Amino acid sequence: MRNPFATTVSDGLWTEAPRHSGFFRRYVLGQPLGALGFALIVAGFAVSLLAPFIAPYDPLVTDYGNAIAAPSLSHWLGTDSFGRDLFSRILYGGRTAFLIGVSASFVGCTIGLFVGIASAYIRGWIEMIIERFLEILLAIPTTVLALVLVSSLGRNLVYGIDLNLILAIALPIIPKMARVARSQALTIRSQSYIDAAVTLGFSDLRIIFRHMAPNITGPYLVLLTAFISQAILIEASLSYLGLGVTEPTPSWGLMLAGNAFNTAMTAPWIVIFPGVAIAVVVFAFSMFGDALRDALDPKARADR
Amino acid sequence: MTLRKNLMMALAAGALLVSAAGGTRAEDAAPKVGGILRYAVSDDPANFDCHSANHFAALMRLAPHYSTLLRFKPGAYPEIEGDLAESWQADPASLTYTFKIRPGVKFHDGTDLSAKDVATTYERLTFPPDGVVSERLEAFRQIEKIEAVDDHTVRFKLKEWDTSVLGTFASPWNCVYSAALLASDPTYPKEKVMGSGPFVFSDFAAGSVWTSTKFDGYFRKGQPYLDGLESYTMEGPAVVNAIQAGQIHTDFRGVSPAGADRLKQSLGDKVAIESGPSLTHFLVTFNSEKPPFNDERVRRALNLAIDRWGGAKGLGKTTEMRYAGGIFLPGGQFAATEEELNKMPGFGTDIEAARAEARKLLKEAGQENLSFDLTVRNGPPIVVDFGIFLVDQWRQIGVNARNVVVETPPWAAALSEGSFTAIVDIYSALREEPTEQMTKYVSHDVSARSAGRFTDRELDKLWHDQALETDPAKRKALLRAFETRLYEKSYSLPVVWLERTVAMNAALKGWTFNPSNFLYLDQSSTWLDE
Amino acid sequence: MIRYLRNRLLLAIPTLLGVATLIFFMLNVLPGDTVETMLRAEGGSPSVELVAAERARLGLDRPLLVQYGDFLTGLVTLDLGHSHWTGKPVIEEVMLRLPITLEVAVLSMIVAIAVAVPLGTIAGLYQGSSIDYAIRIFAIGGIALPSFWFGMIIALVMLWSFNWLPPLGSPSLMKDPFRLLQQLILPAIAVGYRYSAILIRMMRSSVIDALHEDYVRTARAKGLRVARIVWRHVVPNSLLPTITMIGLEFALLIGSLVVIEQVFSLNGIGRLFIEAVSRSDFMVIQGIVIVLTVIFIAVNLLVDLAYAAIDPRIELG
Repeated sequence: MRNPFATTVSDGLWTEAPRHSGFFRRYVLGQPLGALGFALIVAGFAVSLLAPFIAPYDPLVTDYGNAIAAPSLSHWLGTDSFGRDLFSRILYGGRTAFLIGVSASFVGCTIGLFVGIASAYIRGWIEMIIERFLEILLAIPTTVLALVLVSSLGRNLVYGIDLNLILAIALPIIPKMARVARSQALTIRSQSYIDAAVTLGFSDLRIIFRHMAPNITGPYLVLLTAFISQAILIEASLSYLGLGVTEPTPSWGLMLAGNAFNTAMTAPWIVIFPGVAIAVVVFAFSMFGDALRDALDPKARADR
Repeated sequence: MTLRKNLMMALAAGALLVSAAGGTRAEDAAPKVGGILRYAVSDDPANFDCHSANHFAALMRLAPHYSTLLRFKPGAYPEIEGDLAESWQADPASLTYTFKIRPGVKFHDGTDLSAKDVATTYERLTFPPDGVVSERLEAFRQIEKIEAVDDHTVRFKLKEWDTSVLGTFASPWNCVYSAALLASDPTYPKEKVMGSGPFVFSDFAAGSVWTSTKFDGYFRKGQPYLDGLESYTMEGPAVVNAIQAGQIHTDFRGVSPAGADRLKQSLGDKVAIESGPSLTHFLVTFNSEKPPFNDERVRRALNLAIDRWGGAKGLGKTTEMRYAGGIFLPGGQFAATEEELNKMPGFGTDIEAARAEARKLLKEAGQENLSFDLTVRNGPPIVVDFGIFLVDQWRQIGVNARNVVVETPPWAAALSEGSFTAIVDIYSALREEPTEQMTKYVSHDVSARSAGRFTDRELDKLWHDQALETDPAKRKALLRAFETRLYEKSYSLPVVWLERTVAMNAALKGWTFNPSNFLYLDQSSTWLDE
Repeated sequence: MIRYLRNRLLLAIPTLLGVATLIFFMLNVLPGDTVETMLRAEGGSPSVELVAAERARLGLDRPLLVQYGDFLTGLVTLDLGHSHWTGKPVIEEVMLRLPITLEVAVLSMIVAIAVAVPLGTIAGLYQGSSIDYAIRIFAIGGIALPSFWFGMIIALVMLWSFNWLPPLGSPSLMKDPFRLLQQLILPAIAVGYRYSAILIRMMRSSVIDALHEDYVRTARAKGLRVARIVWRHVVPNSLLPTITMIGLEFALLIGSLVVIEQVFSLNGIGRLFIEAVSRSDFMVIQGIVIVLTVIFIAVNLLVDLAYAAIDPRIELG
């Protein structure tokens, strides 16, 4: 058993990257879980994009004669109560998850970024209003806020994608990103070279883009990744509750809803695979996000 | 196998299961007294007024506290016997029904129940005052006058001699309230549960449990057998779990086939499972006021495209959607025989030929690349499954229907405003009574129940005539004519009927299995063999 | 202290008002409402006049600003309006169900802390060892697994193996705590696992940081026993950031509870909320959001107070 008080420096996965040289050694060997996460993410994206080509069956095609079939050579993960191929539905469900997760996170983080920077840069009563508004949004738990939006906006399907759902998940993300962006922007703003730039007469926009942007990119990317996994979880929860994605669009959360657990007693694969899929994707984004944060800002400890 | 054989097999299998599980009818063994019946109910009632309620979950909780004028005889569906009425006389000549009320019936608060209470209750149902909702108003349209002739006699005068009215008197929704309380506050039933039924209301913890206790002064001596009732608000897999763990005895609405299988596997002969056709069916309605569905050919094409027989077989394997049928309970006393149905549009046996004709019709109407939104209610899940089935069927003739799943409020709004193109609907009938069941399929201005936005006077006339027709053979002919025309015009299409599977702890006896979700919920003759 | 409290409470008021206003206006965008559903549920067909009459009775036909004004005045008197579905006061419906939700929340927190503090400490003390690895894998599981899925799985496993289910009904905390515990333990474990995963990581890194602090080296140099150092210094100092985390993650807890209550059929405000959303019962939705915000503000306040209480160096400003 290691002596906890030994003075050698630790090379823990979560705290410091060891002093290796080279990209592979530094980022992959140094952060194996993060690298694994990244690999899974890339694989996930690839699968989602290529789903129409890789999926052995159309996820919407029913086959009542073959319902609730166990995993076999013709149906790798079995079939659901409509006889739809589970493997194909998981693939397409991944598509839905990535689509909604990435869009919601991207929309939320980008809007949050601009709002945050704007509130730090534009002084006066606009700043106060924005600050108040953000505080209000932050006081409401994420899932609850998303549900209120779902309730008030209803469904708005465009090419089979529910835009209102994406908005509903994006909204709670905005203030969280804005808060971080704002504090970063405030710090940078107070640095002297910005004032120098102002004195020299550079336009506001130029200042923002040239000087603030690079310093905010790091936190932005880290939060973007973190929120993708949160967004995917929220989508799964909402779909499970019947308030997110609806049939017949495949969604992992939706596959767990309704009578699924009744069928699961005799056909457990129906609920095991969607749950595992969600876990794997969330795990991948979390690990990658952690590694990203450590790489971009090694001073920050592994707290969140 | 033909539909009839299927049904016979189902019923026989059901009966076998019941006897194998040791379940017996109330007449077979002597009922034991005592015990608390625990059952699941899917929802809380919005308020306590039977007259305005429309959800079976509300009735499951309210029925044990009230009596009705007539009732369905336990153990002998669909026979009707007197509940509060000791006897009655029908006089077609004078268009009256005269009921003799039992003496000695008491309300839970100790007051006597007399003809006045019955008369006042029916006044409320037929001519609701301001602030009172009589949900099934059209069922009372034939009643012209209600009179409490003396303390124990009530007389109803009708406008026309319509025999379906007798069933209305037996409807469990028509709970008899206290005239005295109604006089002081016409909306008292919304907040207060006080009737003359076998159980007295104890307590209701919203969202959780409704408790009631035996009424010692119940007018049927020796009943109820149970000491009390406890109903828990829960639904979905939780219900099957609870039955399996022995926490509740049953859910009177029923369980899914998968749930029943699970219970059979884990409990063996400790659970009794009864199955049979249910009086609930799913239909799809087109908005006949708007293109493209104002064109009869388009509607009929979509009707022909649906493979009802094959679909029911496939769907029936994993869901409760088991029977193909028209507007009457398949295999029931008013339904068309299979041979008759096969001749009607949409019910033929050669689906390929039907679909070919459908494509031809679409071409004629210039709607070959038809694409539209199908509004589907988001819940219960099986309705969504039904929407998936329909879209799948229409895809086979090149029609691109999109499932638009919405929550119940916008769905209900679309239905009543007529802002839909095609919409999925459910109809749970109280009993087998064509006059009631056809209200779903007549002209929009004649019946509030019909959502099809069409006017077809021929259908209306057929409905009106069959209501007054007393000769059964002639009546059947009218029903067939109605169906033929309806499927031809395809305003609103019945597609599939559900199967009801009720799983009960084998100790629970005396309940009568029946196709309706609404009958025998008063628990007066159920008992526990524990 | 009192001044601090007063200031914090005063600051909370505009936030609450803001939340209430935001929710009120967000909800009044929806077409089709509760009245229709109420009168229609399964097979009923209300006439247009009937629906209009009910709406008038509930005061839904008045101009929006008038309804808003009513709403605000109601807030002051703690009157959150009446549910469109049952007609009962929203505050009554919520208060009936709030205890269960709070009980699950507290139980989940207890489970999370009971698991996270020892495991996080051990992982930090034995950093890099196989025990540390095992604990970290355990924590990753908690973050990655959807809590509602995990909850269902453990419920199924209990049912399968022991034919055991959480008891039904509404056992009260005062009169029947054991039965209540049985009812809530599975959901508390499902949510608590996830919560604990975050706390484990926090605890672990705080312990690691603390171990490198000078005072620890000093203590060791002085010859104090390892266990005493851990108990007296390392753990208390690591608790601080962990406690802050509890407050910050409380919102996550509420979100998980909303779904878990559905899974386990618990009669809490989460389930009421979901029902209200499917029925478009705006009054209940509004009321619950406001109540949840109040709880959230209160929890954050408690956390700040606890923080100050533990660390005397912190001054409440």
